[in-house]
Amino acid sequence: MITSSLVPKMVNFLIDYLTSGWGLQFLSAIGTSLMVAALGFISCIVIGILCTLFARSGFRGSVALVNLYTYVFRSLPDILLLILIFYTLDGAIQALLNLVPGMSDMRLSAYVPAVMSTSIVLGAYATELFRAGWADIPLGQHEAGRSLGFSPFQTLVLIILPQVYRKIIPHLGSLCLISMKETALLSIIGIPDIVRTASLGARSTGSPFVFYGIAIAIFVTFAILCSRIFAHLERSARQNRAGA
Amino acid sequence: MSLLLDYAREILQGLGTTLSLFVISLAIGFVLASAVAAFQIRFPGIMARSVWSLMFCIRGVPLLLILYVVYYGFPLLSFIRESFLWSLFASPYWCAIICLAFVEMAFTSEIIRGAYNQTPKEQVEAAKSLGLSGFQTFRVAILPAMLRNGFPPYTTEVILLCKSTALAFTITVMDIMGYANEIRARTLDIYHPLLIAGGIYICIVVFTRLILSTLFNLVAVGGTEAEDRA
Amino acid sequence: MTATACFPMSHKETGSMNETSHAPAIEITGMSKWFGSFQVLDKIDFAVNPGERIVVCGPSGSGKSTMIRCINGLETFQDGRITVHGQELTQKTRALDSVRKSVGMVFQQFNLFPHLTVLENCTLAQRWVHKVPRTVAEGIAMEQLKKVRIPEQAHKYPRRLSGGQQQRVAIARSLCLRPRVMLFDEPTSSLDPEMVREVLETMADLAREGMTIICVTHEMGFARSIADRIVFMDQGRIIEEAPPAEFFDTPRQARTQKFLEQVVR
Repeated sequence: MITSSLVPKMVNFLIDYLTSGWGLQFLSAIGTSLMVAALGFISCIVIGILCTLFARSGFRGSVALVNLYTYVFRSLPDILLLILIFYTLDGAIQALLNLVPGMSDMRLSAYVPAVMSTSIVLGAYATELFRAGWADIPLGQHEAGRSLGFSPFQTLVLIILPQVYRKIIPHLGSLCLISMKETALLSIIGIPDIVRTASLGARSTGSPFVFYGIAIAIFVTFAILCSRIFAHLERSARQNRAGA
Repeated sequence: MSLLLDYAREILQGLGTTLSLFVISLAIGFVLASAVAAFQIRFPGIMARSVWSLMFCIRGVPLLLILYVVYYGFPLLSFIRESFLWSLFASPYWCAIICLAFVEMAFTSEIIRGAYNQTPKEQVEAAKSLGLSGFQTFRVAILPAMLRNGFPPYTTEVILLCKSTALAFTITVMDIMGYANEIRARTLDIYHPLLIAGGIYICIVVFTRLILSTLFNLVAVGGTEAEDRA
Repeated sequence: MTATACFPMSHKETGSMNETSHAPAIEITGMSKWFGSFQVLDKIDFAVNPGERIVVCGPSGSGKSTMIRCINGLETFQDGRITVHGQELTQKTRALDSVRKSVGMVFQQFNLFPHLTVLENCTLAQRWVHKVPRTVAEGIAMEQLKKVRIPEQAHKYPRRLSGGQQQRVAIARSLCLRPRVMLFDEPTSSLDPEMVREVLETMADLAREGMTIICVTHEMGFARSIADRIVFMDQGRIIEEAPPAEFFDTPRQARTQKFLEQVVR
């Protein structure tokens, strides 16, 4: 039943693809989603590392502050946070631009607050991840680094982070996948990502299964690639540790 | 201040919808997940692997997309429109529940499977050597260990589901997020309605965590009792 | 303890090697340290001459580990001062860095970097802290690994090595930086008994070469054969300080006698 209705629709879609340019739309949507996902993934890792360092810095209240961040952000719906942060940042950035003379009529691309809000939301997950990984590193590793004369930054980059990385690779894989899935929410804000393009196409052509099908295929492909890549990373790290 | 109270009163109308979305999809999702996990454990090999792959794919697709497919796509299928299923898929509320339960199944089945695989083999062997039947072994040796191992990740998953219910507003379900969003659209006031909604969600999550940790303590103790009785 | 027989050397023989230099390698004056309201170190006065081998012993919780960790700046102290080769140890990063460059430290738990091979463990600090080119650093590392008698393990990861081997790598790793003083914090306490000897032998080799050594240990046989002086600590104070023969045979303090009765049976 499904296939009988799908085949002519596939054919129709191919004709539409050649004439109306949905293919190009999808390509640019994939580009948008991948870009936002990649930037979000990278900056949420940076946020995670910075928050972990801040929580371990010993400043009064730093632990409580980081706990508050992760607890609140892991309790609130992502879409609610995204809308809140997106509009706050959008307004703030625009207000800042207005302060600079001659820039007042410049509109900043909506991608900037979009990527920033995604990163802040995902940063809460990354922070918990890095804090857990960090807690597993024995204090002796820090001490050995210091006693060999490494600066705190060198100890971090050469000794601590490589070990944290090896411990959390599988979780980084799922964080990467979540980053990609999170881009779907941006369609609600109006960013032309994969989901938005698919639903626009579905509505304007009246063949939802083709468009949604393509969107699903893209996400599934990404999930498979993601799991392959991170499984490979994990394997190579394990071989490393097992030694020659 | 009175404006905020008005907002709060309006948004709270969606509380029942959010809670029922959450609880019903949690229950259905858990039953489905148990079935899927049991199937994978019972029939290892190609069958289990293909089921696992299917679950993997579902986990890779954003919930929003699944909601769109079910709500906007399914009504176009004639066999749905012309059968009893129509009454189900015509309602955005039930569409949301079906989607949430579907995604919940994919995530929870993996948690259950993981918890099962973590069960120490010696305990199972010890139970079998005492002459317990298959089901008794499961109840006495496997289940308590599974509960202990699976509960922490399941708690995380339940909270994630609770957060996911907020997406139901995208298919016109009037839950907490739905009412907040309506006020936002009507008054162009972004902060107040969303912050009030956020406060309500935090309360729900805090209560959920409380209930789950109480349950976990009961189960952890109960699990050892079951072993003692046997 | 039968370990004495393992280290046939007289401390008097090599002790004279460094007598030309008069400035103490390490000088601690009036150092006190508190953890909250609990005083861990109480007015420690203590000096080590270049080339001297000091063994610090005492019951657990006596503050002996804390004291040598202070010398390396791993712990802060609230009162008094420490000078290492004439340079005062402050909490300023620059002073700490230059002191750490001349002081090597070996830990109870080895603390090798698990994500790096043995060779990389030995070259990492040379390359990043001392800016030694890679090939030179590897040459130095292999030299030190030969000295601790495990050059064949250079390309393995620490996890594949026995505890004794790991500790010897840790010693080599410190030696690669050409320290003038070596601190050992209970280097054999987490080793299986059969591996204690290989580590002690490595340390004896070092002592024979005239390295300044401060070692916290419970290996009394080692202490007797290697040390120039033995320092006994209890409750954050230095109770007794004497050459090994005097320390073991005619201890002056009652607490020392009691400790020796418990340790040397």
